[in-house]
Amino acid sequence: MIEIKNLSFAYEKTKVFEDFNLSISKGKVVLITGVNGVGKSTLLRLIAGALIPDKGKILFPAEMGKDPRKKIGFISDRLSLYESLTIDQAIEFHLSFYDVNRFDDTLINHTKVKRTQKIKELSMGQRTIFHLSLVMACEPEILLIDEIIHSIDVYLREIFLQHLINIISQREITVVMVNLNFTDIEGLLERIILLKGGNILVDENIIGLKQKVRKIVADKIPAELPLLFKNNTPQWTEFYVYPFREDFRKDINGSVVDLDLTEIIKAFIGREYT
Amino acid sequence: MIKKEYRDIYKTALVILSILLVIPLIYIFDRIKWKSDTDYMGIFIIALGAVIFLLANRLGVDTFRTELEDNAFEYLLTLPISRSAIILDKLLPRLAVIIPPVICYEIMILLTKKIQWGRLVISDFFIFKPGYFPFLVILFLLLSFFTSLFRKRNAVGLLTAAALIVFAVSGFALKALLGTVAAPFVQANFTGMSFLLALFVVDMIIGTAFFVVFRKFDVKSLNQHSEKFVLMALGPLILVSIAAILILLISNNSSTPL
Repeated sequence: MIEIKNLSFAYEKTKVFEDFNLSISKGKVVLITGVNGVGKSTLLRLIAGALIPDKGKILFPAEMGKDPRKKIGFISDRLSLYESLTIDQAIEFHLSFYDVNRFDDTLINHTKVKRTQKIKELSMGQRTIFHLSLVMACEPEILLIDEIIHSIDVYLREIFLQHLINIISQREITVVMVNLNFTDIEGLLERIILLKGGNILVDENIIGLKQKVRKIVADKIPAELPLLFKNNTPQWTEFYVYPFREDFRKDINGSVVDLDLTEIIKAFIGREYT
Repeated sequence: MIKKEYRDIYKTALVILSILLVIPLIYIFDRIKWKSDTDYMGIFIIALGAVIFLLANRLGVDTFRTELEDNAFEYLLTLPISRSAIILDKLLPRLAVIIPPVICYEIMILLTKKIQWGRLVISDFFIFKPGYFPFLVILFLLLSFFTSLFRKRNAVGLLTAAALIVFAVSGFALKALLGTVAAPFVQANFTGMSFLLALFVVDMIIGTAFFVVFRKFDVKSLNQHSEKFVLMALGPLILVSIAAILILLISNNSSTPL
């Protein structure tokens, strides 16, 4: 569905990607994560067309047409829109680029905004919901969501995620999300990609990753175990092991704990800082 | 997009053109109080011409104002619209707004034989002549249009200044090439063709640099694109100005015209 081939990109002299390759299949919900500044948002902007690669290509299937942007919905962390337009004007402006003339305002009705309000008068949450409505009105085949979900309040976040779940269940849409907080979205995800230094450090499906990363609470673990990250708490030491195999259990003198996605990612990212 | 652009600029145009309302007001006051024989129609026409230049500059300079102020570039670039269509959609409404006042000016100046201020025949200045005026206005608008995206960058200010110097120097040089002696800028019966051509050359250079940079324009730092734009435009501008200076030197030293 999305095929990134030999992509190189730099901001002035700061290289972000060099010979980067990635493919994302149609209809998958993918999370891209990594430490700050690793290029997660840059990657989304490159896919969305807001940035142009220095080298390499981003390929989309032929059925997406000559201009794939027609089938891509992008909600950026900057929530970039024409702020001086009213909601009505923004809708009219946005839809004029797509072969669509119907806008479903069910979602924005939850946010109590008036159609005559200017975008700049909206709160972060209202803007996010409005942006999602705007993007979804054009029925994208690829939805790119930058790290925005957690800057909105709990009520609107739930509405946003519920809407997202409905979309994913109704249509075969590819969703690529960038996030650092995973509690709310864990149930949606199918694949996780962890970036490091412009390369892919981990590329796993969620179920597989959960089986491969385990936390061991013990005084020490055998040296031959593949240690991902060690966390010393006042009471005990936590050893995160990746890739974990069931036969490791016989050599471990401590408890082996299953992890949720947040803890797994915390371990990977924690390793980057130690 | 065209509709939005038109909505963005027509108010600016109305505000700028409304400056001209001052003249009829002074005229009414004059009729009541001073009863002078001032040529208010002439003043109005020349003021209209000057205001049209001001409007052309404003419209050009404001081309990417909303994108820069609203931080909307990222949004615009992710919409299914090509870079060249963005340029066209921004340019067409600007031309649509500037053309009606230009037509008004052309009709008024053609109907008026001579506009004088003391001994100075203002209607003879090439910039106000009906044959040159519309082209100069459009070329002037284009110059502001091409530099508008990077207008807040210092280097672009310098580039614009350089462009205007090149415009003036190459105007004189072209005039020398055409066989006449370089004359003071403000002189009656001045031929505007040289300066029209000079402005066209400057527009072509800056326009080409703008198109090349805008074709690959993205949400990277504006400075990065701005640098590329200045470097691309500056080289040809320097070459043209060197050529113009050489022509001027040769034509001044030569007894026979070139």
